[in-house]
Amino acid sequence: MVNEPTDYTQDEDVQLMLAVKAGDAFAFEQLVSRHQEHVLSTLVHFTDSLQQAEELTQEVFLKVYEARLRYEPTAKFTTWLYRIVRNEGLNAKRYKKRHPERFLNTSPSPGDEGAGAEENLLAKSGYMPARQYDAKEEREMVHLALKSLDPRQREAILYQHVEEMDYSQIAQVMEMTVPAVKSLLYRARRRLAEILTPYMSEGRRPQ
Amino acid sequence: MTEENLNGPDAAGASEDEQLTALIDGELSEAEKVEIEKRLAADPRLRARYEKLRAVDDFLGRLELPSVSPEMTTRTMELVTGVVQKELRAARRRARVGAILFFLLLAALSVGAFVAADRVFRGRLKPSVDDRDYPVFSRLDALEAVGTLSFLRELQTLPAFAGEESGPDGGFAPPEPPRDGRPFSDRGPDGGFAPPEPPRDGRPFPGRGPGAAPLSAELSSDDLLLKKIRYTNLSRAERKKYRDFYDAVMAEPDAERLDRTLIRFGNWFRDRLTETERNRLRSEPESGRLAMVERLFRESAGRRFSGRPGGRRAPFAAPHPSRPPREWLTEMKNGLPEELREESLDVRDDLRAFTRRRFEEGRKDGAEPSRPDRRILDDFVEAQGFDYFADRLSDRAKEYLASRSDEEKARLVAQLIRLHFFSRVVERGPHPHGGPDLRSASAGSESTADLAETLRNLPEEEREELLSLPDDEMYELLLNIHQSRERRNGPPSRFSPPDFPKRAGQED
Repeated sequence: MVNEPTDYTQDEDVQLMLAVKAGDAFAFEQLVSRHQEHVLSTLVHFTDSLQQAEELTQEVFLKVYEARLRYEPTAKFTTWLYRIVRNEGLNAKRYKKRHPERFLNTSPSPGDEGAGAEENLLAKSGYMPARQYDAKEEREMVHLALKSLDPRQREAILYQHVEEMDYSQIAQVMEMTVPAVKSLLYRARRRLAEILTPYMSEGRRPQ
Repeated sequence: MTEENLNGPDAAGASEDEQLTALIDGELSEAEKVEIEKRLAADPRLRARYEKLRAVDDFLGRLELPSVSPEMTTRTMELVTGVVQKELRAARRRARVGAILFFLLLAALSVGAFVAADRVFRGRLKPSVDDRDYPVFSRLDALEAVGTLSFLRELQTLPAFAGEESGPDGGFAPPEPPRDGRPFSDRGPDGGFAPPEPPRDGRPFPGRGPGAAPLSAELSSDDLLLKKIRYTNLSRAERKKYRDFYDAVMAEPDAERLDRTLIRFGNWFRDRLTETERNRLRSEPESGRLAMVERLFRESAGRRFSGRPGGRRAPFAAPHPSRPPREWLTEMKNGLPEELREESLDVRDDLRAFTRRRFEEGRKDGAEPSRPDRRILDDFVEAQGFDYFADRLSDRAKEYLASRSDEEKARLVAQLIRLHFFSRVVERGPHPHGGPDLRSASAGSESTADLAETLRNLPEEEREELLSLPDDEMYELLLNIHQSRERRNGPPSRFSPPDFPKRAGQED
């Protein structure tokens, strides 16, 4: 069975990117506005630093602009964009690993209080009255729960929940097969359930 | 399924939970969805696990996106603007380099194309013996002038064009003077130094043969190129006409002989005739053409064939040696025995009186006066006797001459007189009235035979008047008249018209 090639030109982002390729600077500004928040969000989880994530976000869009002439609409724009994002994020991670001394004074990102995510989460839930957590606390819990995940699981969860990518897009961005993505997401969910269920149901520390 | 499935499920439970996750994510096919929904409805524990996973998923929806600072978009766009400017600069640089390279390439291509075209053009045009029509275009003048095979046959009846093999110049050019300063012969009209005059009847010089030199040696590459271009520009029919004519000549049993006649006539036609004469000959009907050729040949026999201003250099014979007067004088001196080289024999007054007397006598008898050429000097020497000259010479010269035969004495004395005469002309410089500067290297190419010919052709009154002048003035004036006649296209001599009125029908 021969798959018909999908026409991505109807995608609004693809149209904007084609306009950028044709020299439309305003279209590029629109693309930046539409995607920078999500890109930043993804990169925060790669770097654990808002400031560094902002710098990387700018780098990502610079790379998008520089690559505009080579751009071909062979996939959804976000697939193409998040491949760049992922490369930047992984590069930054590797760089950070090789040069830890440069990141000693990095200001912590929200919820990053230094200790292990799980311990933080348990500590926080410990002093909160059951079922009386507010929205801010919930966000913190989510953030800490994500921090407790394996980086690849966290990445897949982010693509799914932030970028609303389906399995096949996630597979393209992460260069995996769709069943592998399915399995990865299941494991991530199970882990999150382990951490969050006691908190969500009873507001108590899990066993 | 138990609660433990979520915390540590077995393989079947894991597979079920994966399906539940896929259901929540909307990634199941319709059939899978129906299947799992049926099971969910039937199995409360499975349903509970589903709800738990669903609750986690809902809880993840509370994930907060970090807020983007308002300047971030501006900063990103500023960065992009920097990139754009950088790209523009690079593009401009590339355009400049591209333009330069383009023009260099264009120039190189133009030069290359020009050189190639030039080579091809020259290569095609360069005459070569390998050219199919080489024999035709190299004989173009001759084929054009002769026109038909029958006229070529007629031309063979004339001795001048008979077609025998032979000498380097067809026998018509005077021999070149000996290079070692020796005279042409022991005797002669000028002591042996002037080249012999050509025979008056149009025959070639005796002993030099009437044949023509090989054609390839006769024509310069420029001549051949011009001929080839002219031939190439002819119409196809004309080219065929000449090719057929040449083929017809070559088909004859005596083809080689006919070809020599053709070549010799062509050379004569091209080099000895004026344009007017050539046109006259071309327009003459074939019946009278041979007679015209004979007449023109006689007329052109005494004509100089080289070095004529505006004329063409005859390719089949070397021109007269064109030497500066001083060199000529030195050669004359070197031609004398050492004992005589420093002598100066000034007998001008007596020689002039002798000449005048000779003409007076000639006029009295009503006969043609003696030829006023160099032979008169021999007569003068003979008439005066050796003692007359011995009184004017040094003892050393006298002693040397006394030991020689009478004939050699006379020749050497005549030569000393000539030497004195020319020394005075050469040393004196340009004539005050604007005569030629014989000391300059450009003058003095005229041979004595040429001057004698000019003098001979003068009307009697003019000749007499000229001969009454002092000999150096006579020489200079004669030279002027000669040169003005030679310059067919040049201005007339300033001496000629007022001093010597033209006769009716005279050319210059």
